[in-house]
Amino acid sequence: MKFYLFIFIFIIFISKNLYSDETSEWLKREIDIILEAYKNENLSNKNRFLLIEKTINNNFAGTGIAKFVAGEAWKKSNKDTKKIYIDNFKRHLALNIASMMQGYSDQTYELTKSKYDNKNQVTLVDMEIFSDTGSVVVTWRVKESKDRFYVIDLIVADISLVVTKRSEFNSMLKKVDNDLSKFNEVLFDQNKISYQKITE
Amino acid sequence: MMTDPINAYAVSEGEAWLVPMRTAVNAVDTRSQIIDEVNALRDNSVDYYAAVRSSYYQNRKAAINNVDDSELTPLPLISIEFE
Repeated sequence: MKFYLFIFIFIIFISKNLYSDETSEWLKREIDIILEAYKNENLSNKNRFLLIEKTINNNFAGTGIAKFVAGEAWKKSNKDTKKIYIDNFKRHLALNIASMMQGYSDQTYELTKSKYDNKNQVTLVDMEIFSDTGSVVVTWRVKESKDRFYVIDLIVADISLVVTKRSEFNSMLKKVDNDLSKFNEVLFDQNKISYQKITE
Repeated sequence: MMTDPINAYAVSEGEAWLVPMRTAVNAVDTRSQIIDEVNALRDNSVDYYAAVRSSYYQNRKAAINNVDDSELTPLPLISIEFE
């Protein structure tokens, strides 16, 4: 009986580890697409960003994150406003990630650790980025849904990108009385400025 | 700051001017290490002050709780059913 129990636990342990490895492999492929885009000198800045934006939108849980960071304002909004907001947010997210990854494009990295969090059903993948002055660890939180992986958060130095965005958006939403349609205008203008900076 | 052995030694030797000098150099060094992240945050924030405030609180909370594993950072409640 003990033997069968041991075999059962062993199979569970192995399958979770295989799952983590699969997540890491998928993540490495997607990170490399973004970093290669930065290294490709044949791409114009606009085309480079469009390629990166497409990769980010395909791999991040953009709609779920958008809903989370909007907080109370989400419930009060109509369908059309939500749709515009999601589009604006996805571009905003892409601009944020692209801007951050731009700084890492000439550095080497390694996916050092991958762990499956049973409680939250999330895989945590640590990415160590090496530079001349030292290294920095970025943790990717990845969730699986319908046989696909989605990045749900990025953590740098114990700072969660999603939690920071939620605080930032809440602060700005308060200034417009939690009106998502007014906030859409603010977000659209900010995206325009960020887009010009990253493509100039 | 004064519990730093180098600072304590400098003060005991009558070279207290070294303390603010070291603090300033460390601040410049730390800033230079995160300059890309700070610029990225400033360029892409709808409210830069709120973003810095939130980052600071998260970082302090992790330091107080002695968190050295990102697993312990609270997980945002994100649904992926609409993706």
